[in-house]
Amino acid sequence: MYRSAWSWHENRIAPVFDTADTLLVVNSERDKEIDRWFVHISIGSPEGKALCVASHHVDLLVCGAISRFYEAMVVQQGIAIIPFVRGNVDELIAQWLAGAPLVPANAMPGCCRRYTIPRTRRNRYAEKRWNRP
Amino acid sequence: MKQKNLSPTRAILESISDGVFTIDLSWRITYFNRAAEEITGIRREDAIGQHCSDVFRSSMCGTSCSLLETMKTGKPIIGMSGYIVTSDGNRLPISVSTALLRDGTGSIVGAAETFRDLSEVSSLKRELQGKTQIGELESRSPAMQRIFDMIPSVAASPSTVLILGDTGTGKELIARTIHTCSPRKDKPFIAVNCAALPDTLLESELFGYKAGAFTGAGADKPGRFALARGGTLFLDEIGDISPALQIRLLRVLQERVYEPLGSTRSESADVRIIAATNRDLSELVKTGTFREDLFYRINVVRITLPPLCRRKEDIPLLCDQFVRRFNLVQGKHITGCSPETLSLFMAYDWPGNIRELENMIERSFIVCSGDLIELHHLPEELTRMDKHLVTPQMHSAHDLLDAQVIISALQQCGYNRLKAAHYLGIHKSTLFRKIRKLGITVPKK
Repeated sequence: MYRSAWSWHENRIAPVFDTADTLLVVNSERDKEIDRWFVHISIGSPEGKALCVASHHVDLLVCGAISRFYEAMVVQQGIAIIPFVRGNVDELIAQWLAGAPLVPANAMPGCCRRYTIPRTRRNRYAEKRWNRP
Repeated sequence: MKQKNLSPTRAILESISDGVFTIDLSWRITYFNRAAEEITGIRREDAIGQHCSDVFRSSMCGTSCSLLETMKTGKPIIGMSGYIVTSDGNRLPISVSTALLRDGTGSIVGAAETFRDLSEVSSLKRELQGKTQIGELESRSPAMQRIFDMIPSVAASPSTVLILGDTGTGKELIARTIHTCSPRKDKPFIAVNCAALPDTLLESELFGYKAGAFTGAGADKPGRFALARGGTLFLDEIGDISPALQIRLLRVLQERVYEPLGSTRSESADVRIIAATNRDLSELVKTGTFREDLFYRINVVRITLPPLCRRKEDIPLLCDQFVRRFNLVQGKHITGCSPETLSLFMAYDWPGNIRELENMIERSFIVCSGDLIELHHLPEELTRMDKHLVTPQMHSAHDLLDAQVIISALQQCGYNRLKAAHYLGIHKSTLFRKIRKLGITVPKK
């Protein structure tokens, strides 16, 4: 079982994670979606927000623009992160489950970043997918 | 786009230093000027045709979008503040203004947004103020800056914190700030002064009791541990608790459970503990007054607050804070302290630290009927201390401090000016010049 969280605003990836207030959490297994639900993350401080995301036992966070401090706090919680992603959340989830890499095809304009993957056993799965050609 | 082919409006938009972009009714960018490219770091050809929030990425995008507001109300927005997140993850402060775009028939065809890079203005403001702020805490002192740097990470962790510092240095304020920056901020912050209660009462205060636990215990009473559930328990003056209570507290810290007096069932202690003392706990451990194992349990993260005499640069800032507060409480309109008063404050050692300064300003408020707190509004013990020091030649706190140092050196050297100059590491003629300039009288031997 792999749990991903998608920073959500009106069915698009929320443009800025720092001010985003909703996550769409998706449970998947062997590239099949099992279930999904929304959680509220309207917390001001970076640490509080990262702890809130971590409290949902998320393995991966897909979000829009994110400032360095927020990113560091999320990574510190052992959560892999694909930042600066844009587009329709349903389409992105479908792509992700089909095994297509989210970036660079869905990267925000001007963003070609390296992706932060904490080296944990659970994240090897995510890492392999990002390295997929 | 060649410069010579530009229309006059475009030429103006390309020449200004504010970023400008326009959108159509489907929120796609239709125009992106040169300054917008420079501020956002995104090329025009990458931006045009894209959804505006994917390019602009501001703190306003989404729930508080100023363009959306303008589209809804038809009213322009001027100078709304926020920040954009650049592609390297930095926050860039900006101010934003918006307006509707209409075609020749007056129909709305989109909107325009102009934005100004405020990063230089913000850094200048910070530099001018030279202070840092976390919650209610403000400081200009490098010693406090190190503590401010620690607070966010300390607050994020669940570890027990030990705050050390002389009386009146603001230990409880630091504990409150850690609590308000922590994930427990929506839960209670409960403070207990361990030195203010006798041992038996403190035990029932902390852990609570069940009805019938002792004579007079008519009903269950929850203790501070129960009241602080999910939040933070601040144990002030922890160095003053008895050995018996130290054992009980150690158990709570180790096993995270406790039993209210008279109860046979354990209750879980879901609290973050912040302890504070003005005593030297390691010395108390050596003398056997404080348990070593409890000391190591609470000494996980240690914050040592400097006394006010080691952060005198904060005195004007603290004075302003107290003046603002007492104006509100007492309904007065005092604007601050006179330069002479501040000089005196800077020269004083403040053995009672911030609490003493607060009391001093509170007392001055009672007698002050003008705009400024002057020397004659201060209590006599403070002005008497300085009468021998303050001379008409002194114009600033710097002069006062110089005079204090010189007088103390002269006293130590038996009023031998040559020895005093050696002691201070300055040339004797420099010392003589300073003595003359500051009007210091040296008694004849």
